[in-house]
Parts: sequence; structure tokens; C-alpha cells
Amino acid sequence: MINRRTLLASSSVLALSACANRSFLGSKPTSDELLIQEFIQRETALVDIYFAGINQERSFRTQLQELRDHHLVHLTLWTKEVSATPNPSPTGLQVASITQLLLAEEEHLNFCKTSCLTTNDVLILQNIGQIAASISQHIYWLNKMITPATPKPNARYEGSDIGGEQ
Amino acid sequence: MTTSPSPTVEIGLSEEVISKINMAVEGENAAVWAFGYLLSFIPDENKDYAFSVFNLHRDNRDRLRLILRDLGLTPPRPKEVYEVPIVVKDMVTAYELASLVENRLIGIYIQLYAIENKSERSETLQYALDGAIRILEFKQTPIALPGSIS
Repeated sequence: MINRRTLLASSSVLALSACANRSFLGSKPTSDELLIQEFIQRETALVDIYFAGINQERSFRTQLQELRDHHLVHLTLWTKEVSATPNPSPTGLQVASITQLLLAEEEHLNFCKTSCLTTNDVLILQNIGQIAASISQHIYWLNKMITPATPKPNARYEGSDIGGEQ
Repeated sequence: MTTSPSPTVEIGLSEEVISKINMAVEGENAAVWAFGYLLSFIPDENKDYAFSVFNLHRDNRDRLRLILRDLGLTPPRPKEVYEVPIVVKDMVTAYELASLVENRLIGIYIQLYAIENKSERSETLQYALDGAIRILEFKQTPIALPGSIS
């Protein structure tokens, strides 16, 4: 079972191991390296918000855990070629509503869309593309959670005198 | 009789991009075929939506074919029959095939956008994002990495 402490520790290890793959320590990071670092920070913060969301929204616990795990998978995309410093950015939130999760996901999607115009690295762009596609699905799903189901036009209601068969 | 000079083709796209556009045309050809095949298994209440997706893939294919034709290239022709990895026998398998087709196209569009010029990237990426939403419309759950073929 993943908890917040494990998450923060593991993201630090991921970033450190990435640094070890290339000896960026001591040299000035390139814009691509900074971009990857930013992605790691944002994904870590999103996972943290999901922990808070799972605390608050018990009825959607299973679905939210699934979405949180997707962000953990997104984090692993960056580990092979990253030059990030271990700097997770926990939000400090204890609880979060689905609307807060939705806003955080929308912000991340916007970041993905703008970031893809700042690099020409094919692998980074592919990662951003897959993450953006996943986040689009998250936004759609979270919206479904907070949108009450609309009855069909021909729905019949108990006690209604409309359309009843007598 | 005068003969017109042979048209000079100005290739404005790299061979790599053209190869991916060809791949996208082939993917859209397969999608058009697949949606034609599975449409009859979709329940009436969702048939309009599925038909609109069929039209959308046909439009995407035509748009991509036009790009290739403008470059003086011949786009790939659709096959008569495609081998489908999922045998469609009911609504559930029809949705599964629809999602599989969408997921493969997401992968192709992501490969294409990643090598395109910055001016074209946003539009191509949007095709992948729209495909990701359609997977959910076809009653599937979100995927950690859409576009990955397992």
C-alpha cells in the first residue's frame, strides 16, 4: 500500500537515480532538464492532492486511487533520462474535494500543452503527449463524478401521472 | 499539341514526418473499416455517437490524404479486409474494438506530433487527446498511458 511518506521518499530516489544516470551534478541544467524537473514536481504534487482527495471523497475512493496510480506511472516515465533534483513539492493538504482535483488536473493539462512547444526532444514530447492524453481522461472522469446523471427524456417516475399505463 | 511541364513537387515535410502521416492514413483507414464493421452491434441510443465517430475518422483520413496529395505523393489505399484482434459478437466486444482502434491511433498521432514543427504540434496533439476521451465514451476506464500498445 502506497502512503504519502513512501511517495515522497520514492520520488526523491527517482530523481536522485536519474541524476546518477548522467553526471549533471555541478553543471548547469539545460532547459529540457528543467522541464523534466518541473514535470516531476507537478506529478508529485498531483499524487499528493489525490491522497487528500481519497481522504475526503470516500465514495469515490477506488476510482481516485486508480487515477492517483496513473500519476505514479507518469512519474516513472521521466526516470531514465532525467536530471532532476530531489525536490518534491507536497501540498500539505489533508483533504481535497473532487473540484480541487479537477482544477489541479486542468492546470497540469494546460502545462502539458504549453510545454510541448518549448522542447524539440522527441522522447520528452512523446511522454508529454501520453501524459496529456491520460489527464484528458482524468478530467472527463472527474467531471462525470460531480455531474449528476440526467434522466432520459422518456424516463418514468414513481408516483408520476405522466405517461403511466392505466 | 503542347505538353504541360511536369509539376515540380516541393517537399516541405521531412521524410520522417511523411512516413508518420502515411502511418496515420493507414490507421484512419483501419478505423473507418472497423467502425463500419462494429456499428451494427452498437445499441440504438449510442448509434448516432458511433456514427459521428465513423464520420470523424473518415474526415481525418481525407484531410491527411490531402496533405500527401498536395506533396505529390500517393496516399496508402485501404485494405479490403482487416484482421481484427477482437471478434465482435455483441455490444461489449464492439466497444472493446472501438477503444482498441482509438488507442492505436492515439499512439500514431503522438508519434507524429513529436516530430512535427511547433506550429503543427498542438493540432495533432489534440487529435490524440480527443481519441482519449472517445475511449471513455465507449464505456472503458481511463488508461495510465494512452497510446501504448501492450
